[in-house]
Amino acid sequence: MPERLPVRRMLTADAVNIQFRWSLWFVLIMYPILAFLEAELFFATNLPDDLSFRSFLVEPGKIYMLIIGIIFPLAYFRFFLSQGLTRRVFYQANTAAAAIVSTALIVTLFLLSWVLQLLFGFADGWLTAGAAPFPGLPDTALVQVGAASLVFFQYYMVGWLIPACFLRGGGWMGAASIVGGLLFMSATDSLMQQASLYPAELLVPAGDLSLSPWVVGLLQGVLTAALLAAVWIVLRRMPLKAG
Amino acid sequence: MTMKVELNDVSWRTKKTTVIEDVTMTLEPGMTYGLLGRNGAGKTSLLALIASYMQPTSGTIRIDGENPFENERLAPHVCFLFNADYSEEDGPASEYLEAAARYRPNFDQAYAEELAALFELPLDVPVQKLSSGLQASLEAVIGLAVRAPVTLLDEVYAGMDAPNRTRLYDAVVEDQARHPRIIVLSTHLVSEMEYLLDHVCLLHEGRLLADEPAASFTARGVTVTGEAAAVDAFVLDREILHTKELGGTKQVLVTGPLAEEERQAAAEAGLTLGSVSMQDLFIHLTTKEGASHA
Repeated sequence: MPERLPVRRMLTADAVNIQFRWSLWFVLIMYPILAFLEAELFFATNLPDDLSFRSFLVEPGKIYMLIIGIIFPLAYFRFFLSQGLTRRVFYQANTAAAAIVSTALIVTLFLLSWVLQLLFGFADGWLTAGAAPFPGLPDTALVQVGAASLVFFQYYMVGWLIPACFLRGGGWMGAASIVGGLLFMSATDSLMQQASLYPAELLVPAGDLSLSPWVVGLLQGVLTAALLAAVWIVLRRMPLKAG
Repeated sequence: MTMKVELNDVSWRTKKTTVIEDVTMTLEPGMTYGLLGRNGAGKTSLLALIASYMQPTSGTIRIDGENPFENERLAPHVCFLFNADYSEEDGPASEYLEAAARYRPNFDQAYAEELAALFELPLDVPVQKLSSGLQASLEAVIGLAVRAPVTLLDEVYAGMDAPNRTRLYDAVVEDQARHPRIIVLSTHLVSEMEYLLDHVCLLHEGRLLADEPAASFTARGVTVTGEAAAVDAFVLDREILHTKELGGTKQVLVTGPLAEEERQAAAEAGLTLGSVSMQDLFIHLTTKEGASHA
């Protein structure tokens, strides 16, 4: 009998595999749209440079991660538990899978975006080429891609939290998780953009935030840890429906 | 590997209702249990508690001496299958067998394929396109081939047609002999499964009405048939579960068993004594008039 792989590694691989397949569709749909817009065939004048990476890759990418964060655990949580896995194993493995998918997706989008930049007249630029998605952070590929990867991961976890709250505590808890999720996403976006965005400006003063990248990193770390803890707290006692 | 399941005063309540109330029972390895109960009796909830789909509100569950909830050692050895909704599942049945092979330590792929052929279950067709009977067959195939020491089948056979149900029952008997484990078959369709069961647990409105060997359970009832006046005289001091009359002939179902002298007295009075099927006893014990006698 062949030696069995550790169960977490198997589940991480399975979760990554499924979500990679979904993400391929996202890329296949987004890339032609981006290429079409970059070519400016039907537009009279130049589009803003930041359209290339920020508007048409990071923003839809965030929403896409939010959506698969809702769908994947909803579709597969009970399935994998019915295979004899525990909630803890699923949580750990799928969190790892979400991190891998987030990084792989943004790296893929980034490279494809760069190819488009080269094809359609931005060849003099280098990687972000002044179209950095997070202008408050250093304009280097590593920092920008790393930040986008973290934001994708956070959106995925917020997506996971919302249906888990509905299943754990019913309508009110679910509704509270939506409000909490919106505030969380706005807060992390504010930190990345170095500007207080709505609705986070309800909690912190509006205007520019002049925080050093290290402070942003530290605050993002705290927020991400809180989000991870919230998902686990909800998930560990979430009842499963049979039938 | 064998495991013992112990439930001690287990209750499970929602905000509005008590679904399971103070259930205490022990499931022993190598036994096939019938978890009987009407619709809404709490059968699925009880099995879901054993399978750690949720936690009891009060009481304790132990498998192999340990709390099974979030227990990584025990989880792969408990298999709970029920009629799932496959309407969104576009993968073929073979994917389900592959998943079981990856995650279940005792899964027997060759046996699963043998069972699939037996049930005429096509493994290459998307599960959502299978009939409900074949979807149920898939559950049954996985349930048996996983060979989990604790196997809980919650009415998966209800959607299967009669030939496949018979094949399943035969497979349960054969595989239980080859690989003894705890098999719990929950059902409210008792008659055709009666011969499979070593032990009966009867659940009614969340409470355990009976927990005893199948033979002892069926001995709980005796039918007394004969001339109405003679029957009435014979059953005068006994608990009556059910009465039927046709002309001057009367048949009464009373709680058993009867002592030898009572049997002789019945014969002398011209009465016929008969055994009761598990199905009849189940019906009479779980209807309003019968439940009070349990």
